Amino acid sequence: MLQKTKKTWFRSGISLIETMNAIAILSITMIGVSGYRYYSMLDARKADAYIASARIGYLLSESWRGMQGSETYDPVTRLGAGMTITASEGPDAPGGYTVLGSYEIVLNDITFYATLSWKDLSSNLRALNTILVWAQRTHEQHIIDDADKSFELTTYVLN
Amino acid sequence: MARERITIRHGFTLIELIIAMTASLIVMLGVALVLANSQESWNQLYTRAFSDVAGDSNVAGRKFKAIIRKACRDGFILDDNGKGIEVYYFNDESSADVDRYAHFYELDGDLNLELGKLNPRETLEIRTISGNVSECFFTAAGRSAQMVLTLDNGSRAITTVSCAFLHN
Repeated sequence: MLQKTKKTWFRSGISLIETMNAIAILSITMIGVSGYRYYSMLDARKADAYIASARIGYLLSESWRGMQGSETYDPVTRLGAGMTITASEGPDAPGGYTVLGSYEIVLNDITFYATLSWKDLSSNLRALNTILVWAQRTHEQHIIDDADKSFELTTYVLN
Repeated sequence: MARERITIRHGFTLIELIIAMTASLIVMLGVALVLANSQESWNQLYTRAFSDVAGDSNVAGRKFKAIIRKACRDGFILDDNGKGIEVYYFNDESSADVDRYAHFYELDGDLNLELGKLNPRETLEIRTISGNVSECFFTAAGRSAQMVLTLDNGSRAITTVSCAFLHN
């Protein structure tokens, strides 16, 4: 008597469902990688803007301090020949400080708005305040209302 | 007795193959675009952070501040066109008088620093602080000095501002 053997067929390769699952996983991975790259670029740009604002704030404060905190100091006259700086509207000065002036400064295609102000703390000690604001969300900025980031620096000078 | 014939399919149908190939093609195109875009973004990021102009501008700013801060507050000389500044300083603690000078100036696309002795004037060394200088401007306000430096290597331009106070 012949014994009938059952023949089992194994499919080779992968099914369409498996392929689609693999594609879905790969797509999610690619979206993740793209997001990582995008935010790396964005953070580098933000860091650039922050560094530039700190340098501008330092430049304005130190040059004003070099003039002994003079009430006639004009950064447009002093620095206008080397960089793009014009008198403009700017952020509010801290309470109790007298505004010296507000300026628009363009550096590396980023527009910063700055306000310089001062306050006499005693008969021979003056505080010099510099506030800068800029738009971090949008690269192109033309009005101060778009500004969403700020940097503030206060230095002191003996009269 | 009639035998039932069972047919087992092997492989894929044409429709399955076409669908799978189309889906694979779309994914491959997407992957290629993502990779190309990522590479470009990475190059931009790398250039922004590690290009020669980024490093040189940082070094130039630091050098300018270091020299100006140790300079004598008695005076400095600005070149007529704002392309250079000369300051004076004490060589060391034993110096009774101001006996050294430092001269920053831009020449042929380089930012140079000349260091030398005073009385009699003698050049000790000339260092090139940075290349790729497209614009360089020095100014002064009272006892502080400022430098606005723009470096451009053709692919990236950076403007950096530096300011320091004459302390001694």
